[in-house]
Amino acid sequence: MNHLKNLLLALLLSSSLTGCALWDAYFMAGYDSGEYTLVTKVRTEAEYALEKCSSPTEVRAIIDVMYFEANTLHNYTQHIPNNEDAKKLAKNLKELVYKTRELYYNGKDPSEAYCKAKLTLVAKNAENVQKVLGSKPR
Amino acid sequence: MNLDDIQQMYESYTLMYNRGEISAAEYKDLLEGIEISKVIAEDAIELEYKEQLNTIIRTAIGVVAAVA
Repeated sequence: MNHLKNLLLALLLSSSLTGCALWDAYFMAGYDSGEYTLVTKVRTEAEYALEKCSSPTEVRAIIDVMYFEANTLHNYTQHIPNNEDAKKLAKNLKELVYKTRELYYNGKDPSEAYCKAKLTLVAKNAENVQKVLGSKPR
Repeated sequence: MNLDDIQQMYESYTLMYNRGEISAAEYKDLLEGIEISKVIAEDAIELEYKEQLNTIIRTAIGVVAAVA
């Protein structure tokens, strides 16, 4: 028993963590299927829009839906206790989609090269966020 | 996506701009996108670290509780 207590203490001390970091990690918000579903939708919409890059009108319509989902994700994460990290990720993902949408509503149709590059970037970021939200403790 | 991927994207966007495949406004938007991606990548690493720490603490507590 003493051996195990010492092991636990050594483990915690060796990682040079403050009490606050330990507290945050222990009480962090767990896995939430609502969050996971919304970020999966954003990623899927970005990947779907990528296939439509030759048609700015179709991309614009998909981006509208994507922005709605990204905004919903941000609002969803907002009032869940101990969920600051997810909230920050959702806020920045929403910002990335918002800027894309802005360019699509700026008058001139964006180029196909831009469309492919930007939607790949959105999809990769959404996948990155999906990965960490999916790994939250059960 | 890690920081190496972000570096590769920067090089790829610059090449596209220099070749005239994207406009200045599009290039600027992609670079701003990289900035946001960098923040997302860093925040994701932080959350991943917290998740690993949570697993360690819960496992350690489980072991101690089982023995006690």
